[in-house]
Amino acid sequence: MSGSYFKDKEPRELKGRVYAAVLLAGVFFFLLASRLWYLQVFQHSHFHELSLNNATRFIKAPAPRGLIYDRLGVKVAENRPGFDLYIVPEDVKDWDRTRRMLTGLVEITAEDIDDKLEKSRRRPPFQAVMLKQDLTWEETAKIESFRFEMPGVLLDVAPKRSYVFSEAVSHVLGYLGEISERELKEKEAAGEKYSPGDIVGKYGLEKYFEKELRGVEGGKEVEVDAMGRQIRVVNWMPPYPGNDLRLSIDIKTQVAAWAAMRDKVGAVVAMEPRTGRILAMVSSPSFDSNALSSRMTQAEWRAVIDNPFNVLNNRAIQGQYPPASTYKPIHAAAALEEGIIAPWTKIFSGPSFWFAGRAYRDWKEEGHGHINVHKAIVQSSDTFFYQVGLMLGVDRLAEYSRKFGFGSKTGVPLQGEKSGLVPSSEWKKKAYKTRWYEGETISVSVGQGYMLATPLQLLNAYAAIANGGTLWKPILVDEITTPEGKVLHDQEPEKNGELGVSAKTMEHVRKGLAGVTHEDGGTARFLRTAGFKIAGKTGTAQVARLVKRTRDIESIPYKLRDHAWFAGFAPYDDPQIAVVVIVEHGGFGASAAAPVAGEVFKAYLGAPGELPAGLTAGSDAEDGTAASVAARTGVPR
Amino acid sequence: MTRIRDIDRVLIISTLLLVVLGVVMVYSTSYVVAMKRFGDEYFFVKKHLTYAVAGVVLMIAASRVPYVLYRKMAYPILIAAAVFLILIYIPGIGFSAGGARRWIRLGPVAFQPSEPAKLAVIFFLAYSLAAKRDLIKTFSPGFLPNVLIPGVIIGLIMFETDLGTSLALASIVFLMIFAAGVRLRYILGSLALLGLGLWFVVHNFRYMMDRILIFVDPWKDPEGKGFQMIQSFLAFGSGGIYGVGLGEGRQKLFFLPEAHTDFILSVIGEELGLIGVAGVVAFFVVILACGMKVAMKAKDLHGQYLALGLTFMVVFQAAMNMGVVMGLLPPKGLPLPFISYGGTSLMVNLVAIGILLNIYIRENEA
Repeated sequence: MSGSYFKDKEPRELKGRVYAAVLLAGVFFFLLASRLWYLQVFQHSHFHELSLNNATRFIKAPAPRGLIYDRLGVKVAENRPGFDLYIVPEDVKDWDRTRRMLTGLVEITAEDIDDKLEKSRRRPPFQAVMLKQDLTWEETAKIESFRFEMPGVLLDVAPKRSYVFSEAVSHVLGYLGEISERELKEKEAAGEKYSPGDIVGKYGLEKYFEKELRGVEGGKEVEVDAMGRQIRVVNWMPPYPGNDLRLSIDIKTQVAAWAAMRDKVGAVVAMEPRTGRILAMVSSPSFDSNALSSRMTQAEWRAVIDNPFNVLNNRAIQGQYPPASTYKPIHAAAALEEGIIAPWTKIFSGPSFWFAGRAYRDWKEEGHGHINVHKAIVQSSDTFFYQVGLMLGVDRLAEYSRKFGFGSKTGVPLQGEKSGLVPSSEWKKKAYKTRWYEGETISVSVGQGYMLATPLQLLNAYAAIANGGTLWKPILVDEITTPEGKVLHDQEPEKNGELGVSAKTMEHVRKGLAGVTHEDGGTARFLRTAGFKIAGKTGTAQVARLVKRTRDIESIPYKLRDHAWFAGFAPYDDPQIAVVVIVEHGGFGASAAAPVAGEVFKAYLGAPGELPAGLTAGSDAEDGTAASVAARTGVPR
Repeated sequence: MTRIRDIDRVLIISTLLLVVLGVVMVYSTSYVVAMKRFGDEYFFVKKHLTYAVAGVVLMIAASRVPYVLYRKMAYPILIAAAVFLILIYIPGIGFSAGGARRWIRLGPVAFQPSEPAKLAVIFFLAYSLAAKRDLIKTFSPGFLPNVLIPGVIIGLIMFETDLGTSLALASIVFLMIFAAGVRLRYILGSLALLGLGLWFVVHNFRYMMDRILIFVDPWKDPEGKGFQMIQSFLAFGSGGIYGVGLGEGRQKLFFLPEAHTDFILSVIGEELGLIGVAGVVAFFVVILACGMKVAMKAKDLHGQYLALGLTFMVVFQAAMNMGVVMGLLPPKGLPLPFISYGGTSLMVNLVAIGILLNIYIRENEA
């Protein structure tokens, strides 16, 4: 070991220099201590206050709503990016100039701007106020190019709903809107997390399946200083899209039904009788789901609300009409089943039936002569059913009506379904505190009088006739899947009940319905040429007791014209689709409603072809949705 | 006798108290972030605790290894350190975290080679200064190699943009050669050269310039670069004398970045107040005093220099870290010894204490 490592060789300046170094460190530690004193004691209250003002703020990023497809996978509701106009009032330099420029560039009034600002007066500082939702492309471009002359004005992109077929499916899909205070309270009570300004489904499936479609909101946690200015993004949580729906709706059939109803007021519903899947549901007049979901101005909204035809009414489930002659097959089934008549029982059915000193007329001025129940259905004899109805009595009629689903909601997954009305002596006592009169039975026996049904109820009854006796709970959503495609829910057909009517009786009723379209004297014989066998029944619901019956409906004031019905199914031997059409104030069922039904049958069962003319789909479907519908050749039905 | 025995006890107790405080504070500062990022509030503290236990074992081991070993192995250790520093740039072995390329991974172990490199430089200097004791006043064998060889290591560390560690190491080098008696004019001359070089570097690397500007006035850019500094002040300031209470601090909740690493003292200031921070400072002063005692009493010159270097290493880094978080020095990434989260730094510092203990044991054998 070399001696140089030993301590006695320690350099003479070592001690002094080490002490110098330690002294230096001591000075530094003293500085640290003073600094500590300054920060923690002297400046304590100042920094403490600043620290309390440190806060994070959450800026929401709405989740893209779930997509909606038709039964074959055609997209009917999707999301597109839309630009919203914002302003940060704290950053505005010149209010007059900004206001002038905004009203010039964007369709917005100075009052609108002031109104929005006033409403958000209590917002935290530096939080942007939304001035206008979903700018048009032109407005976006204009704002973008002048943005630097208007400090404080911002554009932000957010997903917007786009309904590919717009008005054609609007009553089924519904529309979106900002959550109302009442809805907010309801959601809160239901334990769902919503906050003011959130967009929710307001109508139709968008409302009914809000929970599935909504997704999970994301957002960024931004840190703000004591002034409320954003400092930085602390945390970014991406939103998670909502679940997708695959509907039972067949978009081609739906669009055909809508096109056929275009200038009419009323409803069309179609169902797969084997399963209860709704293939089409149209209510006319319709509304523009796209407009209602975004760019709606106050005036446009008023126009929708004040429309005399009540466009927001889904007539298919909310319209309640006397089923009129379409009720006769149900009546016939009740009479046959109860043994009041046999299939061969002939009853004289003249031009009118006298009861209690009053004449109850048949629609056919010359009457039908001696006919059996088959002929009575085919020719829609009124006087036949007046007499049978009297023998059966109102309460037995009511019992069968209820079996066929009348008088109670079908359970379709839409809000506001009406239950119709099945009159009975008990009901009369409760509602009117008087007894039932036989004369009233005569009205009910042909589906008039107190009797009321929604088109969907009637459809359900006809689907049951078509399938041999099963009453389904209508299905609108076939499948719910996650955005990744995992199936969450696969809707199995669900029974509302069995009719409990013998197969023989059902067969007689079905034969009668086939006769309507195929036999001499049938009220809808023109439908026999369709290329597949349609069975069905027309109906004409009286709105007012007419002074004079006439085929010239133009001569009758619109409001007094009869409602026109058609209810039927096809093909007769293997029913694939049941359809109900009502045209309000359309006149005769045969001439106003049956042709619409014909279009619907053709669209679903006929050769695949072009979409009905007049379908502009309301938006430019980017994947050629309309074309893909038309191109669906050889789809097995 | 008793007085001397006191030194090792005091050294061990101070060190262990700081390590325990570190574990507690790493948990307190990281559980929210750990919960948010990993879904496990113990994510950081579990790792830290493992390193702490391993570090204490290493410390005990180091106190048993005769320190002569570091004299004999000075060159191999130095070369190994240099190799590791270069390995950082080999893809697959080196990797980066937090914007700087400072890590290498060997099998399951990942570590920062710049930390053990500090030990290597101290080992080399202690050996070299003692061996050249008689020629220490000369320029060439006395001054130049003792500056150039550590300079290579420091350069490598600086190249991986770890300015804090390289400056800390440079300070240790200068203090060691200063204590060993190198001529003052060489030291001052090289310091001037270094200052010039530093000035050049700072002007060429935007981020360093930014750091200095922020140091001068953090409120110039409170939302950006001055943010961390201001949040650190807020943490200290809101703590006051007694602190807001352990675990009660607000600043660590996303306001103060790296609360569990470099800026852990700010959270101690917030949660434990002036009393807590003063305690930490006091313990480092105790370690400094003990280290100096060991150095003065070591039985040979190599031991003396070694003790000096190791004590400086621990205490200087602590002082610099404290200076940064309190706004007395420009920001640079330096962990607080024994307390900050980070395995390599913790273990290297515990090994340093272990070696100090060994020098102390040897001196009492004589």
